[in-house]
Amino acid sequence: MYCSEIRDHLQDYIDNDLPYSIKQMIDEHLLECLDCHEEVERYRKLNALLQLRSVPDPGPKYWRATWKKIQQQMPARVLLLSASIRPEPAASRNRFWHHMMKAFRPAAAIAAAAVLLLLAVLVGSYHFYLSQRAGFVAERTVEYELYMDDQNAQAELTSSAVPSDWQPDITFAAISKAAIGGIDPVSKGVGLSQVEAVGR
Amino acid sequence: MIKHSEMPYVYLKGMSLGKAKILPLDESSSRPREEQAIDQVSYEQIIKSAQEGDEKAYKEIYDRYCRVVYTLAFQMVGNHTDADEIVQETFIRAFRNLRGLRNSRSFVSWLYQITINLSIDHRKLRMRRRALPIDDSPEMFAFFELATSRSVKDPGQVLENQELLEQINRAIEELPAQQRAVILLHEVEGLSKKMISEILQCSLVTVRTNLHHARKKLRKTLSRYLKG
Repeated sequence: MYCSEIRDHLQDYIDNDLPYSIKQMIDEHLLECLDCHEEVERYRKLNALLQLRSVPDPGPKYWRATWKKIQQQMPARVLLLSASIRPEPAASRNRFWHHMMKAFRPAAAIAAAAVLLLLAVLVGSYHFYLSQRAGFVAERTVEYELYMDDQNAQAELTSSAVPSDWQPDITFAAISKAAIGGIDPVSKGVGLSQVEAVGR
Repeated sequence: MIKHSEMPYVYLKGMSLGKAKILPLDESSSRPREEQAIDQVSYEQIIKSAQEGDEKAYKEIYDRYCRVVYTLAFQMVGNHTDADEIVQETFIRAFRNLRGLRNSRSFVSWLYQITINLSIDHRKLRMRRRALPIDDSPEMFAFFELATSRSVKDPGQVLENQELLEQINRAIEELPAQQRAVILLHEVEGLSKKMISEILQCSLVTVRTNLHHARKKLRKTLSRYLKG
């Protein structure tokens, strides 16, 4: 290994953060290279210097006095607050949804009510639509059947027994039906014509 | 007490280089495993009791961690008065928010986190108000002492030590807050990089980068003491 590579690892070497194989390589290099060896020594000296800066112990009197000061502040700043907070159930303490529901409880209740109301309106509207549609279809069916009966009757008359010179009567009957609407004079008209024809 | 297990380690360039051991946090790691397990159980029990509002548990927590909090606050702000305020505020905030702590095992890193954040805020506030000078006051660090100073009798040596202490303090003081926190937690408190990343709520890579830059700057500032 080159000196530059070794120096990249020196801080980890001092912190004992290197695997054994790399540490051994650096150890071997340090035996041969005076510059790198001095570099390591500088880091070690720096660590020693920082540890020289010691904090004197203020003594047992100080610790007792400080605890008293903390105790004096505790009723207002710790104990009152603790008493006002109800302990959470241990099982649900870590649950995401528990916290979410706790944070958004009113909003969640309003949203749920709105969703239920919307559902009720949608279901009601759909049922109303279905019933309306059923009535409409039934009416159209009856109309269609009546219409088909008329068509069949007309077809019978035009195709078979009616002679060609009676054709205007049939046309007149069809026009009359359309004009009068509902009352069906065609069958009577045609019947009369048939009777006259038989009489002739 | 915190267990010191092995942590997964991924090297910066993306190479997986196996595992590296974390430095022990305190003397408890050298004790038998059974004793550590009992400690762990009682520790968790204390945290749970405190979460339920037991005042005796509060006192127990204070007794266990007051020195740790004080030392860290002192290292960060550099004087007893501010450190004292930070200690009180740290414990008040910890007790007040303890109920919201989900994992009792992460209590210590959480306590460190409160201390660091308060120290940074305290410092910013002081700089804004300019109530006390920060950069140019020799009395600012008057409470610090050199670890070896009590065994030194020679007045000349005492003066030299005083000067050295001042230089170290000034070099640390000049670092940005994040770098200062990382170097103090790593070099002085002896915490692992992973724990520091949890405390400062940043990635492991950020911790390594900050540590690297902090060391580089300190080496430059303290170069005259690092020669030979």
